[in-house]
Amino acid sequence: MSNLLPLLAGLPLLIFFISLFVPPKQERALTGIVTGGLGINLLLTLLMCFYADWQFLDQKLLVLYHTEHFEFSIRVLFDKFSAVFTMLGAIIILLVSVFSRYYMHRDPGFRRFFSMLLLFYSAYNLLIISGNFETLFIGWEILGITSFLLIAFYRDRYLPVRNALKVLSYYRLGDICLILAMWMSHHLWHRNISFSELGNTGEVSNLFSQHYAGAMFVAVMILISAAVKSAQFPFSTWLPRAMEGPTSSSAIFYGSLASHLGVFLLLRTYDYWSHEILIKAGVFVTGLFTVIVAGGTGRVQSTVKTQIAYSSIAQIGLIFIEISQGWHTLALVHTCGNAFLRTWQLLVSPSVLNYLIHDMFFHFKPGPRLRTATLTDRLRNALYILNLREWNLDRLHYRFLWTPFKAIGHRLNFLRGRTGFLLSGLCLLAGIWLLQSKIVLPEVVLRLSVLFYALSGALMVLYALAERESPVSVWIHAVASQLFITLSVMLNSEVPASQLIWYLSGSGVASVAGYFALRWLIVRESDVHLQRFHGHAYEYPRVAAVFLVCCLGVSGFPVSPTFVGIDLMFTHVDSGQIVLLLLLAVNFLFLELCLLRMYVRLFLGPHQKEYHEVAFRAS
Amino acid sequence: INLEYYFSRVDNYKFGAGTKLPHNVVGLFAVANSSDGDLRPGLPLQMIEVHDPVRLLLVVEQRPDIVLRTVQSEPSMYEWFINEWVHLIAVDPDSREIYRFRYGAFERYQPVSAVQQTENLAAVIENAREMETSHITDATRENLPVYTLNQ
Repeated sequence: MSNLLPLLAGLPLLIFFISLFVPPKQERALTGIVTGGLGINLLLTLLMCFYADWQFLDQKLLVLYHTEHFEFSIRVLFDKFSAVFTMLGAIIILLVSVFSRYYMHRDPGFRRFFSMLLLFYSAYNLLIISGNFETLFIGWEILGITSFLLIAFYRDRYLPVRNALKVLSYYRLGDICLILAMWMSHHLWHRNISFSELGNTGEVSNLFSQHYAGAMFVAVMILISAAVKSAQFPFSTWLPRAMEGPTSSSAIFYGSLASHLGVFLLLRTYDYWSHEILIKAGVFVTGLFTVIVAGGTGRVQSTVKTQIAYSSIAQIGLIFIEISQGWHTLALVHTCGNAFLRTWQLLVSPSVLNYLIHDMFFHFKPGPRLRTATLTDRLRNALYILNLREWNLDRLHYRFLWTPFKAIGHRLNFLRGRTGFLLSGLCLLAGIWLLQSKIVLPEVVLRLSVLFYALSGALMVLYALAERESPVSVWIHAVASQLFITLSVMLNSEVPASQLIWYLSGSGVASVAGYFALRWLIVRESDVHLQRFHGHAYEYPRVAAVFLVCCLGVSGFPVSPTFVGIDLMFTHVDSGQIVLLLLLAVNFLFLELCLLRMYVRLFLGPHQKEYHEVAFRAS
Repeated sequence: INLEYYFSRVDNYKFGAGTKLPHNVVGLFAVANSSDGDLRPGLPLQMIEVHDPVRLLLVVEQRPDIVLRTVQSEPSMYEWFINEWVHLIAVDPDSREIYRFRYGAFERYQPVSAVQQTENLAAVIENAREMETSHITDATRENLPVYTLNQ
């Protein structure tokens, strides 16, 4: 029975690869393959749930990398949470794909839609059946990218593309928090733990009593990741802006499956944080604030999909409260109910006029007579405006979270020209010389040089984030920042050559390929800059796809061994080196964002050539 | 309705409502593409790709001078013909010749393709080349010429 478990994630992945080769106009063939595969998956899920008889299946599948201190393995785990969530996922995705078969008829992105859906589902299943943080993180990252690609499904318009990048930045924040949680837990337990081991209450309470700060850090990072993914307070603003894709994809992601993954993460790690009253209070308070903020905002929305989105978030806030109290069964029932309800609501939302117009005509209530505003009126109006502005969360995020980093990046414009390249090259060579030579440096100098290289790497990424003119400069600096980071970690502690190869091979190949793809585009198009969207995917879709994969490869997406390498790099950072850790976190957070920002500006957005119809910017 | 269809067909991104898939109902009176963005005028793509908007062609069986006097009698009606919103053909009942209204007068129309004779009209229709897609560039290649039937 445990042999079937990897199939739950493997079968959709296989069908994803098959779907890439079906000719784009063959709708029947494609939907036949997809629906058949998902139907088989549903049967498999049923089999797992009922014949496995709620057994606790915990198995290590394969070990990707192994040293005495570190083991990157793919583990699977199947318990009641997995059963519920996989069943939920299997039913909903089959429903949505059958619906989409007719809904997406004759859309030019038909095949792209189903491929993304399958990749999303395989990532979702991998996440649900994962037995340790590493496997979970693979699913998490792939899910984030498919989410981004499905929001930017209408890649020839400005708004979907802009909102997709915005959602991706929140997802990346959640990714980084999870990486930090993995790093700290590796330091606390001195090995890579699996989720079943989190249930050893003795060991866990031991950990909390001895390394309180570290253990709390892990729990807080998990909470932040879960809050980001489930769009809880204060990260609620990305979800309504994510309704840019086709209705059925919105239904799947933001109504049901993806937005409940925060719930799943908290349930999975419940044994770890449940006895710590502060974390429990944190979960409770997050849920409570979300209920207030999202409940209020949902009531003042003028569009139907955003209203459903906010209501969904408010319900998930309630589920968070239930989890904090330990009422797991209630939380699971509530999750399923919310997921099915929001899926249905979103799928019928375009025809809401049919249902409500009769109601509107025949139950007309005239407005109240004009009178001077009483205190209750004024309070009500104030609340209305507060909720209409979404409690200013979006503006606050922009001002305090993203804009400071962009401002730093703008200051570093000198890196663009020759001087910038020369400076970076010299620093790099100096660093390599330092490593090679056997000079014994005083401790202080060594520490400072480690921090210097990490800081330079972070600054280069920030410059790349804010650069507006030269895409080649962005690419080179993004790649160079990775080299700087590697140098910094190598100066920090001994890094064996095999780990270096794991880290640099994937991103090295991707860097070179991406550079050639970029050059290919620049040779053919005259003005290629980053001040606006170019939309070159209209003429060069294949190059766009290749460039996307290269961007992902450089930023450590699970397509290349660099993914394992990032984990390895983090193990060389001591638990006391807070500044270095922060610099590395900033680096990895903004690396993917700056590369995907470049991809989006060059290839997506309204096409700058006007020999065909182009949408208005505000449409 | 015709003009709405026509403009939505001409440029669906700007004048029409785009594809219906991301449509989000705003307050029971309009649609927008999502939570941000403008309200969409016009018809969605899925509504207008069924038919091709074609200008109306009126065929009148009457002498061209009488037809010309008739349409010029009412200025608001004459606007339709002189501004080419509607095409007008006059077929002379005696000589069976086709006159086309162009630039304010009727001129003899020469058929572009040679008029063929056939016994079996049904066979001609069935064996005609079918259009590959319903897009207007393929639809106009569908070869079903107009015949005059001489009894």
